[in-house]
Amino acid sequence: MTARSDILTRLRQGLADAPVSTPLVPDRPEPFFTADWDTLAESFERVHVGFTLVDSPEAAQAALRDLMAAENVATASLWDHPLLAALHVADTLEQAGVRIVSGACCTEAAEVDCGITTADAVLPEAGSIVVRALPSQPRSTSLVPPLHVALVRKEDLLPGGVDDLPKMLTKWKRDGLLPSAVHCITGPSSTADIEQTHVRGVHGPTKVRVLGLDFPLRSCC
Amino acid sequence: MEPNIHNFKALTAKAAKNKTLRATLRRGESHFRAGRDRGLGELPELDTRKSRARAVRLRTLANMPELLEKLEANVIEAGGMVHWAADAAQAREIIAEIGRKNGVSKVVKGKSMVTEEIGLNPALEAAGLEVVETDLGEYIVQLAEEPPSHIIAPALHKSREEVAELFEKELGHSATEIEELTRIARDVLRDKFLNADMGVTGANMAVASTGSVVLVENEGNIRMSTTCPRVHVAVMTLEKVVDTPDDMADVLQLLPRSATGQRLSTYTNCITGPRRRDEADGAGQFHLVILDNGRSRIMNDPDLRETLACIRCGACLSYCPVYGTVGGHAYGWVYSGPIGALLGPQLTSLEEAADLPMACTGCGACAEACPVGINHPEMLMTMRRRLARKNPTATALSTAMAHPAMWRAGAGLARLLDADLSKLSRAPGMGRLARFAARRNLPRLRTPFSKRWPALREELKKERHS
Repeated sequence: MTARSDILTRLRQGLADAPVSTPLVPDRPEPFFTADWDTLAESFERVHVGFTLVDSPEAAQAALRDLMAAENVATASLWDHPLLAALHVADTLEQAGVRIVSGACCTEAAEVDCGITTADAVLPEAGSIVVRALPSQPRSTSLVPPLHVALVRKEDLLPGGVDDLPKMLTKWKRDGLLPSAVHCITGPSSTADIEQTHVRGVHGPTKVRVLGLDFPLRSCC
Repeated sequence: MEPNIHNFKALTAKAAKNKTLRATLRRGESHFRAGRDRGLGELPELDTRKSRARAVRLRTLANMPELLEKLEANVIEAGGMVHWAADAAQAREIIAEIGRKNGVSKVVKGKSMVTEEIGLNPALEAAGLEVVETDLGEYIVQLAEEPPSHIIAPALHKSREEVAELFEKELGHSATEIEELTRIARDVLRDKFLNADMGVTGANMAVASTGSVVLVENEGNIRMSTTCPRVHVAVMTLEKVVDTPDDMADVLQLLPRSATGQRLSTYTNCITGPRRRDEADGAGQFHLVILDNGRSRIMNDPDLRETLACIRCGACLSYCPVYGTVGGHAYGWVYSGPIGALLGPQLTSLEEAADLPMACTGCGACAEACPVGINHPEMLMTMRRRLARKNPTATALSTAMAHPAMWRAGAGLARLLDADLSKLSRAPGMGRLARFAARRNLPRLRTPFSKRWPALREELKKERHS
């Protein structure tokens, strides 16, 4: 405990001798973009996220089947989420010949071709999918498999983008605590560490695909 | 990493002669400048955003002890453990002890300047642990046994050919294209993540009111390091704390834009405590190491403490003409560029690192680039003044300059003895002044203008008449 009290005492002494003056804070600017599918589509394009807008559950299922075929997906793991259940995602995948596996931890997820999640929020201007850790929402699903597919609803788009994150964090508290992990995912994992040349697909997914669900989902969520 | 911070002149001379390095630096510079200009250019009401972020950072400085106590309480509330370290040795010992207690043999690391600062890797290796850097740039410099040369691009100084050669030699895989090289690293490191017992990261911020650490990255190696191993250790220095999630958002609006031009980095991670009992993955233990290592001393220096407002975006490096010529290694330690010239002397000693504050042209480009309004040149000048007060030559010169008669007499004498100042560097008994002269192209001491003016006036008159 001596390090602790030494540090705090020294800091207090320094600030007592010469306080830091803090400036007045201007109000945070108003949102500078429209939180709609167009803004999101544009942002996704910048960050190399494939985006498909679908207008019915059937169209969503068809888009999923196409995606699984196009990416040669043999195994997938998915969140236990009412939205995915309402859209019969598991059945759709099985019909497409995809085997559903648990993939609930890193070693399991490392054997899986595709992780399917929803989004707890979407930042339209940054092009980010926000996911939080929950018992039904393992962290590895959106991280370890080479392909991450996320299904997002229009009401998940935050009008203020990054400025609205604090509000959401507060909303997501369980027993007074923030979720153990919240990740804003903005495109496939990437690096530019060699000669500043951009390469997609480093330690996380090589590809991120998003289905925008442009229809009301009454029965769930 | 051991500071080699007293060796700036020799390292600079070496770096300035390296043409490959200069080409690499130029490429990096234009890449980061273009990114930053685009990223910040896209953000409306930029000045308001900057004012808000600056206010967040100054509130951190103003309320640091209370914020750290609040952070500690909330990390513990979330099930994490908090360790305070006065210096590098204590931090190393704390982390090694966490490893020992948990039977850790393999460690993966996310990119973190502070763990470089405290020399964590050699210490853990000495304790028998395998330590692997997992950020691609950090992994490259680890394999090459070199220190990082840029805050956000550790292997900036390495060309693709050099990386290819290194991978061939160290990993036995040959490739020439950057994509292939990246894939090789991915495959090797994937295995490391899945088998690691402990993940060590830094922290871009820590949010006091929620007990969270915020980690910003592009590669996913930090997510892997906090998701796969059983134990997560985050190391932060005192000034990384901010008060609320709103403060976090104000900084996040600028940090990635100013660093790489991204609106957000690929992954913005907010980690609060260990994984909850009912969750399937994520580290089961969360340790936060709060490290001082000289920061509380800087806080007690009102003229220089704004150094600690830095958010480590690296923009000042991209605009610094000195960094752009000599690169990061010349600074002889972890932190380079304008922020390194400020931090290095304050974290080691001003006398030892005396050359760093001198390596500034005073152009002010860094201060203009800084998203939180740090005035680097002004603080570097303060350091120079402190050094000059202890330097007899500088004191003598400034006394002479302040007394016109004394100055005229001295200058007249010098003009008589060595008008070209060519003998000065070899003059006996001139010690420091001779060494100063030896490294510079000095001007000729010309006749004072007042004496040349009558003749010059005649000449001009004649020209006008003809």
